[in-house]
Amino acid sequence: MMTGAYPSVVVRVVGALLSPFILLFGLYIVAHGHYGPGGGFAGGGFLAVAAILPRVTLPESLAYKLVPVHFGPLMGGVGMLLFLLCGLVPMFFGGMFLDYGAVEIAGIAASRMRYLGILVVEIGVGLAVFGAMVTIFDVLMDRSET
Amino acid sequence: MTALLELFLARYIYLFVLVLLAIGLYGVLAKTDLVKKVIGLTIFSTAIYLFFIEGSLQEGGTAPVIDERGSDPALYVDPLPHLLILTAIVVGVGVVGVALALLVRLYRTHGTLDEDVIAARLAGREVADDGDTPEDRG
Amino acid sequence: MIVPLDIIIFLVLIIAAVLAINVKDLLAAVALLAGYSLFASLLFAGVNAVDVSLVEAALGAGLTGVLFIGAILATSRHSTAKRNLRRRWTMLPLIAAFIGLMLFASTGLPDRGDPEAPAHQGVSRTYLSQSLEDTETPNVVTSLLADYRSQDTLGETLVIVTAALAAMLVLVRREGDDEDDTRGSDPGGDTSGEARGTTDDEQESGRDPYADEREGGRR
Repeated sequence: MMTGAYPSVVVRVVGALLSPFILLFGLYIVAHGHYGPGGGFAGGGFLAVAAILPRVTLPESLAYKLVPVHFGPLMGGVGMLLFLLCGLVPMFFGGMFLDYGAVEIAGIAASRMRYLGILVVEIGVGLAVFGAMVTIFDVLMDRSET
Repeated sequence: MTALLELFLARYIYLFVLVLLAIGLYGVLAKTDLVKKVIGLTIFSTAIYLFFIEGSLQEGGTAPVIDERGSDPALYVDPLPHLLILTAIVVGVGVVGVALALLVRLYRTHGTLDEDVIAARLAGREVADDGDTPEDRG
Repeated sequence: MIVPLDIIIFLVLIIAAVLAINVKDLLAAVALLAGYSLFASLLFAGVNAVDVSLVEAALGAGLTGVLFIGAILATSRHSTAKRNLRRRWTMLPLIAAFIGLMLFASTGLPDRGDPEAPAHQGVSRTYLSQSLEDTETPNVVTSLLADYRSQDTLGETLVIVTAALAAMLVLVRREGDDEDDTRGSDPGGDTSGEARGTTDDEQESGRDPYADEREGGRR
């Protein structure tokens, strides 16, 4: 499927130029979820778009070198695992599952701990959404590895 | 007349959402093309998101981001429906992904996405002629 | 929440939905669907649901469209299904009954923007007043998503990853897979006509001649 680049040079150049900025915006959305609209789900969507855009505009050999096919399932698993581990850590401190406030580190208040826990969870969710979306796209375009 | 207008202003969201729901339902039930069915499903679910989010509105509330005015709940709209719908949208995209994967698989096996043709073939009979004329194709 | 603007956007939504259902070119239908989602995200922004608006614009309008286009490139571009008139006329009373039922049910719902609506009296007031103190997070939706209701989010994330795995399971070709592949080697939609015509023969003959070539080229 989609061997070679998109025929129009304008689309190719815009796709190549826009992708890094979408990636940056996605990272900003993931990191900025505490203070404004955003968070893991939207940020993961933007990251996935940044990975998919080269696949539909650039030549295949280049696009799949930028974000390899196995990257999608890998990132999905890593994000999911990050979320789960983040939920398990408080249990070693006597708290409940996903109760980040129970983690005791000297000098960090419970509310700050929850703030950091939210950040880690958002990153995990972002990676999982990114991985899942890229995987579904690759699979639909018949580019997936077994 | 003004009473009717007031009733309309208080309730028009439900009316419009219902129309969108009906269009989506029509796409899911009456269309035979499977891609059109998935499109109808998306329209239907987006109408439900709209219904939920409109229900979160509170007169005089702003976006649920706490600012310098303090944490008085009356100042902000209800954040709980936002959370529910936010996750529902993402799951909806996942559902569409799986549905499309199944469609591609069906196409590889049967060479068509016409639901009637596939159903007839699975039942082991030829396509039933429903009295369709050739110009009905499409 | 500007009422005339809302009504205009709703009318655009209805037009886009009707066209997306009825247009024959599937790529045009997907473009209309993306436009529909984008206008819905405008409505979300209009009622101060900024997070939902962003997610709908990114995932609902963007990624759904991308997935649809991927699937259409892998199948056929033109909607070739025959109209099933009998089914259409059976379904219309059903849809009318659905609308009637929903219209009846909507009489029990609160007015738009009513602060005294039962939905606003529950736990969300606690979330709003406690979020900044508990988690130092001004955006209440984020603190709800990742802290107060993080188990819900864990489940949703699991659903997404599972969806990706399910799509892989459905579509990935394995070695020695003898599925009947009637798709031509051309990814464009214009092979669909001949592909449909030949399906019956190819079902008999098993594997299509292009399959080996394609598999070999990929691995």
